[in-house]
Amino acid sequence: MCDYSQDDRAVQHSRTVTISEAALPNPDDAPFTLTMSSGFEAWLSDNDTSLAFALPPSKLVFIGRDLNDRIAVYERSFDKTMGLTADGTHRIYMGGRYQIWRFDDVPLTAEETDEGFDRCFAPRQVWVTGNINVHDVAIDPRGGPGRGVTLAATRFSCLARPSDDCGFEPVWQPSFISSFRPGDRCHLNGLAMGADGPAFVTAVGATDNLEQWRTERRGGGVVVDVASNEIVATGLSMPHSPRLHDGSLYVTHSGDGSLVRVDPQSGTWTEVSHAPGFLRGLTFVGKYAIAGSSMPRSGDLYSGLPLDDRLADANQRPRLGLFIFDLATGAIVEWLFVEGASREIFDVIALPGVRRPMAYGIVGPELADSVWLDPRSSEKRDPR
Amino acid sequence: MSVIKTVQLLDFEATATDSFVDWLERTNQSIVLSHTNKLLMCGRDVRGDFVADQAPFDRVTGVCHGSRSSLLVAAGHELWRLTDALSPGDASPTGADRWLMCRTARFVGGVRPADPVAVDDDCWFASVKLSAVCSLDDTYSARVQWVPEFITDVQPDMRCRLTGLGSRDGIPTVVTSVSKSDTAGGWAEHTVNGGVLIDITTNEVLASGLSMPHSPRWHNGAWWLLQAGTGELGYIDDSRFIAVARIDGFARGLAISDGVGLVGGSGSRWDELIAGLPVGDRLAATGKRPTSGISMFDLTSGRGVGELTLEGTAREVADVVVLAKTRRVELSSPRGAVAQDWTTFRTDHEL
Repeated sequence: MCDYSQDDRAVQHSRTVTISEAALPNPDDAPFTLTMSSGFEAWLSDNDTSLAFALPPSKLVFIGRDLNDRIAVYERSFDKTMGLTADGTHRIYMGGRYQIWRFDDVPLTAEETDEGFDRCFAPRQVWVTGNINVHDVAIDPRGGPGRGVTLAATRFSCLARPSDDCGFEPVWQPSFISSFRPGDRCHLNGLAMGADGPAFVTAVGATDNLEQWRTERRGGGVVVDVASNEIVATGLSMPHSPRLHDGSLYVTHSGDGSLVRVDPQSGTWTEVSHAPGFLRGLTFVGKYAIAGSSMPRSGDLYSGLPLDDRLADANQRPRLGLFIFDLATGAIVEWLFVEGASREIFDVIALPGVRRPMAYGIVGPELADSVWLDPRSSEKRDPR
Repeated sequence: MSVIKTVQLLDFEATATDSFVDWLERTNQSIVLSHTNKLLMCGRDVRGDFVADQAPFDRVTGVCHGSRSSLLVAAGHELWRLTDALSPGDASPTGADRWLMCRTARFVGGVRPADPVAVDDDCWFASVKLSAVCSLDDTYSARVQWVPEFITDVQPDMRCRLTGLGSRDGIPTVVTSVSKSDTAGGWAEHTVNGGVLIDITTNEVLASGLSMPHSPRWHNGAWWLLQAGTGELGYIDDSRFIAVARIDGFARGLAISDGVGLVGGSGSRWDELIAGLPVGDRLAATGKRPTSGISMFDLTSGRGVGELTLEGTAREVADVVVLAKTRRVELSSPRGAVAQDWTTFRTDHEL
């Protein structure tokens, strides 16, 4: 177990990797430093997974391990990095400031394979949604229009699909939104996808007027069952990232700095664990939950919440990074902290079975000049 | 008394003949053409005066109509789909009666797509780099659909220089190629008369001896195309190219509408585009400069029926399309303010 609460001890038992300017594809990017718990690398190995997280404003960061099982970091820049979801381990979708990107697994070069890379995600499609403030992105396993991609379109207080014909296709709204119209009315931000499609959403307030949810940040948050369109949990402070895992519904109780398990039948929720940060972005690997942690800043949207009191009581400072929780014990087993200009993590995904992912960005010529060919391309075919 | 004059800062100057504008008005159509790193939209403002608008894109190599009245634009490594942002009868903020916004793009990497053709929701194109006809693919840069018989290996090395793809009844049917070369960059030795038109459904060579053929279009029972190297517009009759008209420039980009052929003309400032080609020799002999723009010809008589002349540093037209029932089209670029600050959705009720 790691003690993240005392800075000296945390640093003593940690390993630090600086992503230097020289390693960054975009010269304008600020370097950042990752500090991790002493067991973090072993945890990646033991669980045979890699992780990826969105570090706004611009970074998509992949955490894998090299051939010596040491941490291997790969990052690329985008015009704001927001909701992130993996469709299996060969396809990723990410929301941006006004776009949604689809990344697919493209062939690796022999050199890349030799360096231990075993996955390369390259942008293969973009949808221009306009700035609808996309939060969670999730894949409807039933498929359907837009390849099943479903978005929490926060600026329209709805769930939506990307569309080849329009900016987006609205698919669902909470019943407390009186009509479909533009505007962030309840801060609908989270989507838990189930086997039968969208299952639960989180909203910061069950409110209908423009930006009215801001008055509900302390305790006004709700979880809504999509199928019945009924509120199944109340009293949460800025809930985000609802996820179904092993038959249970988990939500990051962001404004409280905790991870909670929600029982939609009884409407009760119970704390699984807590951590020093505004928890948002949630994924699972086996019996572990991995949550993103952002830093509230005095006067911003994330401040003035119960989390502030918690941090003050424990004399802790908020952390930017990832916390890994043991779902059975509630303990924080590992952590990864980010030091740099960023203040928030938007989302996190796991890529089980992937050892060392890499990716192409959209800045610079690397994507524009690449040619990936099917090895069978020279076979003659009948075009009809 | 002084007045306030507001102008949009453009890096080109478009001059249309009266007959060009008359044709737009008579047919109630607008024209979209590529102009190096932007699209130009030619139409008429609310008073009926000629107006040319621009939308920045990466280097545009082809434009075509897509499914559900969309427009497809090949720009650099991106293949964009633009769709209507207006319901019939509505007007854009600039008073256009059609407003096309970038909705989605597929990335094709460095295959250099030319002359795209929509096939339902897919898009086929001539890959200049791969010397193959390709369609979109989820994983690979492109899905190879057809390879000329003389190409022994599909590599990104620009062997024969495929330039155009023509469809008939919605099915991609012919390609134009500068040469039948099978060596990397080998096309460059065959620009004067090595060009061919090939039926990709039968592998039959429909015409040969062409000078940099481009833009094959099926019209009135024949394949019409441009010989960029001679500046000629014509059609294929029994394996022979019958010239109908010619321009003083590199002829590339052909749209046919209402019996009129709209021919894109290019001529680089330094003339390297036409140097060593028949059209270059012809112009050099007369001391003329190549013109950039669109020339309209009556396909029956070959008579010129309108001209659009473009002046400026950008002088390359790759493709031309005609938009029916459109007085003026506004078109938003992929990363501009409209892409970010506007969106569209379908709704059954008033908001």
